[in-house]
Amino acid sequence: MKACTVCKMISSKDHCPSCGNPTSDNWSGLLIITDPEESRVAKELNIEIPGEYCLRVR
Amino acid sequence: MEDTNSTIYALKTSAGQERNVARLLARKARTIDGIGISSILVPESLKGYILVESSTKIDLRNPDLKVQHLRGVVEGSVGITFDEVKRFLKPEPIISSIQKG
Ligand SMILES: [Zn+2]
Repeated sequence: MKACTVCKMISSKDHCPSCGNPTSDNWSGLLIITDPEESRVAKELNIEIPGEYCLRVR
Repeated sequence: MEDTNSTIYALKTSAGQERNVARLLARKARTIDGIGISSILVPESLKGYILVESSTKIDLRNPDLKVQHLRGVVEGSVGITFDEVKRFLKPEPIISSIQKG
């Protein structure tokens, strides 16, 4: 799996399905957002789309 | 506006199963009504633990929360403050990430 270098969403693609930016193999930490409306963590990171994200990407 | 009623809980998992437990719990949160889990955090630095944000009390006696390799709720973890969680959200780059060659 790869992580978007901009929005950090995790996918298997070379370009992020969410924002279209390039993805990277070099990432760590996992964050799953199931309910962005109710999540303080999602709000802190400005995440509005449910899904899997990494915490750090290079 | 950024106020929600969620609390962060630390959950103990079997070693190496952190991501699997997180994904199984996320699936339950999406498919079962009444589970108030809104996010799950698996920081690389926390071996054997995950952090779960929920608007309802996490009680592992609830059969809906039965997940393999989930070992328990860390006692006293209900008091984890959001500031403590924040440092996992924006980890500092590690020294070894300095450019090679
Ligand atoms: Zn993206």
